[in-house]
Amino acid sequence: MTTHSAPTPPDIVFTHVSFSYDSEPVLEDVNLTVDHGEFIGIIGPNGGGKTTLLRLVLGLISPETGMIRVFGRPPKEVAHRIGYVPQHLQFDASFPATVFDIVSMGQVGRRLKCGRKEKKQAAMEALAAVNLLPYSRRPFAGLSGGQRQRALIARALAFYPRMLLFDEPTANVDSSSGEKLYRILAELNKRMTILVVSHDIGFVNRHITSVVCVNHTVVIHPTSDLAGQNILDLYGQDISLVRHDHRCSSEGHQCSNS
Amino acid sequence: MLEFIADLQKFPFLQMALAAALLASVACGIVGSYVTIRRMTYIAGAIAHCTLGGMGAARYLQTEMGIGIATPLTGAVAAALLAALLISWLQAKSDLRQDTILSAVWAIGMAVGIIFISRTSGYNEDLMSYLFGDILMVSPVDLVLIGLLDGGLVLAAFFFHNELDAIAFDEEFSRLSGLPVDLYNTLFLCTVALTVVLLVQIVGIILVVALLALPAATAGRLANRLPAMITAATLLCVCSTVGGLGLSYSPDLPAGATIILAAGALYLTVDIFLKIKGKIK
Repeated sequence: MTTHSAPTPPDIVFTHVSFSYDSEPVLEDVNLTVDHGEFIGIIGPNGGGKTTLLRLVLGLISPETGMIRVFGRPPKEVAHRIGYVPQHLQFDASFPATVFDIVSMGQVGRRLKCGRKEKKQAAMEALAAVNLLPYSRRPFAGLSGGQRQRALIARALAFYPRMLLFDEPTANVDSSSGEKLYRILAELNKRMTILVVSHDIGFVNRHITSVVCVNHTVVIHPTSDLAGQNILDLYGQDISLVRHDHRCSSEGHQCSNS
Repeated sequence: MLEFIADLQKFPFLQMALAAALLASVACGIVGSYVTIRRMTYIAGAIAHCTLGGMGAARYLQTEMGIGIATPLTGAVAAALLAALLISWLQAKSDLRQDTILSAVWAIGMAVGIIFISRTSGYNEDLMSYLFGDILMVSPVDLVLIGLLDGGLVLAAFFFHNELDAIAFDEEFSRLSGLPVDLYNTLFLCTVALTVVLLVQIVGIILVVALLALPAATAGRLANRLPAMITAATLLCVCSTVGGLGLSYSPDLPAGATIILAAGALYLTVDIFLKIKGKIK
């Protein structure tokens, strides 16, 4: 979120962006800058515009007013360099393909200038990055929810993207798989920018550098600022907050990092 | 069945029927598998039923108006392509539900056909022969056409399977990858339309839907990868068509209907087999 001068343009810049569906405003006057290497959590209530924000970054929809630049270019021109990871639930559970087949699909149509061997190598590296290498020949249909989500991440990694975008990665994934997922994301964040959309504010953990709160407008918080009052402003009602640095023990409640 | 095998050497019409069954199986295996994994069986069904409108109108124009170019085949091609383009345009541009679009195309296409058939004087082909076809009446021209279609389909599947698979799995992701998804979808639907038309000439409208859907569904239960699914679907289609043809021959049952029942029986057999296998494990 900082504005220090970098040699390359920021990965994402929104300037006074507004968008509405059927004259119903969804996003109004959004200004946002995401520098390379950040790990952004996008949160907000359902219908607040999180998915719209994601679709604008991907160039699937265009803003009504304002300007969006991704890697310094209009989103449509660079969408093929973004690794998009949709929710695993929307997929046909009986699709006839192995995990390796699914990961290779990430390379189709990307204008990759490399041979078949290099592509296979890239797909294998992607599988290794999400700890799914032993599963490469298994049918995609036979995987658990968490494994499917990781296979979709590998698909998004198979063409060396500059940025990863996630839509609700922990939805319908059990908590230990979710934890595993965030460790993988933290590791990937060393190489690329990551944006994660989640309606579940409980996911906001120590790996994330900034939180973007979306509810028709956009407010940006460094993770340390994310206190109860901000959440209350955002959701407009009292909601239960889960602290990740908080442990319950026999001696009473204690915080691990404070 | 034995009588069928004995007569096969004597009668050219049986050999032609067998050749038609084998050639149709290749087209059904490839197109049926893609149609099944994309959950588009009902799109194929709507296109198939719509061809009745084209065939009826063409027959009317030919007999009543003396327009020579209007044959049932050209009428069916025109109707099928029109239906494919209409469905793909309405899906992209209108707010209508998909099943509304398909039901409308399906029913209106058939109604148009029935009106034209009723208005055509003289020798009126039986509606049943359009619906169930007659594989025993296949002409050499039909065989050449379906052979050409098979060749085209095999080439398309070989060169474009990566793109087709990726789009079938995740259309939005493919669009973001830079694939011209709408173009592929329209071309795919036109391919389905042409396949349906040629198969309708041989096996009839209802059998086309059955042959596209049932062997591929059975194959989907058995195969873990698309190439295996296509191969299995083709083989299952061969079993259904050749088996149905053979079984129908001695008792003089309608060949088309027997083929559908054979395909259905195969699906059920595989399903029961897999359920028992799963229980034993």
